Amino acid sequence: MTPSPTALHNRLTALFGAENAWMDEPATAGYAVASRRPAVVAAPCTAEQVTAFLELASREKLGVVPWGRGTQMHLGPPPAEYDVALSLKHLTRVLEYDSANLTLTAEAGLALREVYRLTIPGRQFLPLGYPGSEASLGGLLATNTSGVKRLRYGGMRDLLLGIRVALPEGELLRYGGRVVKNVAGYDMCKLYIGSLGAFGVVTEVTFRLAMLPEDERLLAVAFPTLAQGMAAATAVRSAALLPSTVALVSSAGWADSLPVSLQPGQAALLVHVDGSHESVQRQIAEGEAICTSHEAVEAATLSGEALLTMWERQEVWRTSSPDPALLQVRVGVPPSSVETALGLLDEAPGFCRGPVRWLADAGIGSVTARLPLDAQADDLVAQVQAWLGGIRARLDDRQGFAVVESAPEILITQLDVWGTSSGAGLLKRYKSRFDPQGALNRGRYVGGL
Amino acid sequence: MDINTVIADLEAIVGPQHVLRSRAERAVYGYDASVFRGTELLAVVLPTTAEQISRLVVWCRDHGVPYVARGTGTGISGGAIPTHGGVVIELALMNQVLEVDLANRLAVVQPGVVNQDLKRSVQQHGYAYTYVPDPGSQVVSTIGGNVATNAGGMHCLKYGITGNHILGLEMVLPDGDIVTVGGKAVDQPGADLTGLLVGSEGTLGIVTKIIVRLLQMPEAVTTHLALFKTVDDAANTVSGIISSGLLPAAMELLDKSIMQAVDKAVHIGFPAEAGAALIIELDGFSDDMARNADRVAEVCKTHDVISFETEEGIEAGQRLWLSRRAAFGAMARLDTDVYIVDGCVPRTQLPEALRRVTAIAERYDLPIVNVAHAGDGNLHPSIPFSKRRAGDIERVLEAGREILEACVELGGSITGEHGVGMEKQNEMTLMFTPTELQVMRRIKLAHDPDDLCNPKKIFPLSMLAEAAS
Repeated sequence: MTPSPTALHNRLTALFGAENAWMDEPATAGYAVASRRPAVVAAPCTAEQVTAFLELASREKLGVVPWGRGTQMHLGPPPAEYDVALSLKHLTRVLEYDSANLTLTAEAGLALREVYRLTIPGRQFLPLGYPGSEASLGGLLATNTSGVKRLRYGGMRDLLLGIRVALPEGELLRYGGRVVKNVAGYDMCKLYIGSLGAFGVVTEVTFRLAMLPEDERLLAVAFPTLAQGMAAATAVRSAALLPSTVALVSSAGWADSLPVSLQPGQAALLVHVDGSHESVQRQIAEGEAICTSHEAVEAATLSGEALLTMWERQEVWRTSSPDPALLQVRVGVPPSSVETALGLLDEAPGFCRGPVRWLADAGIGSVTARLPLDAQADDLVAQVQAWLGGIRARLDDRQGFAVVESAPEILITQLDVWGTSSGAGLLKRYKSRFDPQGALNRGRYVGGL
Repeated sequence: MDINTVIADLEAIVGPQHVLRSRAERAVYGYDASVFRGTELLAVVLPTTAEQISRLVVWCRDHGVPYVARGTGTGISGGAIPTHGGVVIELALMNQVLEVDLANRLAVVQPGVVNQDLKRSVQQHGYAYTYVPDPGSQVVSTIGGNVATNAGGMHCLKYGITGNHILGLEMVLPDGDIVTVGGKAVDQPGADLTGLLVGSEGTLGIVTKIIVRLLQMPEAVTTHLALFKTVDDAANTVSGIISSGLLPAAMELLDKSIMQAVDKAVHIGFPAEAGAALIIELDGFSDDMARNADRVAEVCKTHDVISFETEEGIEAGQRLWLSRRAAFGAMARLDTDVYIVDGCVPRTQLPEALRRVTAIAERYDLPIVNVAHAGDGNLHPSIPFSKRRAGDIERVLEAGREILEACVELGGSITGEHGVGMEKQNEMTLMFTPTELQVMRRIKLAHDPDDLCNPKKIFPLSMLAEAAS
């Protein structure tokens, strides 16, 4: 039987000290997931304390939700059991910054912006987000978040080198390491990428860093139609250019951020280029020429602060916690099917009260879309379910998928948030061996795990 | 079990022409490019479909027969060697490139496709794209084998290892289920199962389809050969180049002993004072090449380079690559066998790692020669020896173990690109605690509770014996 909140609070106080375990209203409200609140919030100070806590949680059959900096907690259905919010806010130490070997080891609660602060003076960075990112390193790992410059610098799976992880049954383990080439045994780090904490709590991470480019520019181009913008994006990708990002944005919702004006129905192409002065100049010029031949309406090139702002807006929009009146969907498709995916999303269904806003990474094949919900719509849940089922069926034909990233509670508790996944059977097998009690994030993960 | 019944059952699954059972055929599939030998087999089968493999593994499970999947047997860690008899599932007939999808920069291939053949079949489409990973064995090794070992190669510094280029897999699990992980669309919901299964050395199932990423060929390539008086100078140059902000496609180091061997084999004419050679390949936009080459030359100068040569273009560059490409062939002239050690250290530790290798070589009185993927800190001390000389192999393996101990001490790994197989099972304890190994083994047990799929590999034998008892 689950102990009472007071008994639990007492036990956690004994483990972590009174200053690191709370059960008062403001504290637990701050760790709400949808409307679910934990009985107690605990913030261990070391990986060993995390381990000791998980052992207790497993023994007492507690429902635990690990927290980094809380930027992505809208992912997944609300927890089926939520006794303790396990905050990693004290696990923020940088353990080793080895600039000569371009690696960084830090505790998982550290915010990405702190990594930028540390590495920028040496002209290095961790390309998993923008310089002001509040997201924690562990959170980026657990949600499999890569940066918008993935095309050039690689994504989470390319940059993660090592982890330290605490398991529900009280083991504290290290996998991977500090070297780029390391094939000793199974690559256990990969199990934790996109794991939403289902297989353990990652307490420490080692990443490979990249050198900052000598120069960078962002080309923003408005096109009369999405089809023309997409054709230009494809042409840019096929040319002898090596852009860091090739993205398209909708006319809806982006007008204020863009250096070009967009009318309803139009789309803008964003091409981000990193490199030497010469190669950046050349790529921007070639990119502009390609866009002109695809009947661009207007083009602008950003650099310096303006570029940083635009980059940040893309990253923030993709990863921030949206307004609860919105339905946020992430669609993954092979890059050549991005246009099809956008077509599906743009057919604003009956439950929308305005145009759909989206950001499409045309180089990677990933679309984030926000649909403004009409709260008055009849039978909203059934309508959204039917719509989601419909786009999933059509994406399936193109080997794509759709995930609901955020939605009002009435929807997120009833929708099939993750969709069917061919790997779900394996995940279930691993879950039963890594977290047999289902202590971690119960009910929030793929396959209802 | 009656052998004739076994053969009849196997023939019913794959067809009589695809079951090899003669003594000679079974012997041929009992070893690979490592120094190890396998045990007596029941038979070798050559399936042509995932469904056949599914039926094979179910038959094996039902009869308690171990099996090992195999490509072309180029592994040097004994990963594809049958150590407990049973059946070898040879994937040579599953060698089709199923799809080259240039719009999405990927190809879908069967596991038996030879690495180099994939590159060729992609380049038929106009030389604009290629499949990058290039293990030294690429002319014979298969993509399936590359996936199993998460193989590396010369161009990992900039482009990453095999796993970075694999988007998805189809795998037959030991219970006969055929599962797909990853796919043409990236970041599927759930964990990175593709990443977890790549490098599992055939112990978690048999890969039957692979989606690989293709990359654009670089616009320009330059190759540089720099000679130095000492290994330290060469290794420090490698670190200097990286910290100058450049990311070369490759940086390969040769020490004096291998330079001498190569010189005898292919007559390059290295000057007597040269103690180390560094081959550096730069690629990228033609606009950048001259300046980047100057920067490399500059860094070499600060480390007392003796000579510095440059070639433009891939073809011309082959002249400067010759000493590296000829290295393993040259070793064959040193003795009847060669044992290749595969350690990895943080790049800046390479000079110290090589100093320790030299000390170990002296202590064991072994003529160790060194090549290294220096940019990645991946060293391949290579030990010429003879299996026919009593005591040689024991001494060589012991020295190899000491080198790996040194690599781990310096913050590295016991294997950079060749895998654990049966060679480094016991060395796994240098990197992992018993608990870490137990937890890693939960993945194996989740796939293969009967331990029939390439059994008793990767994990330390003592641990496996304990688990069995």
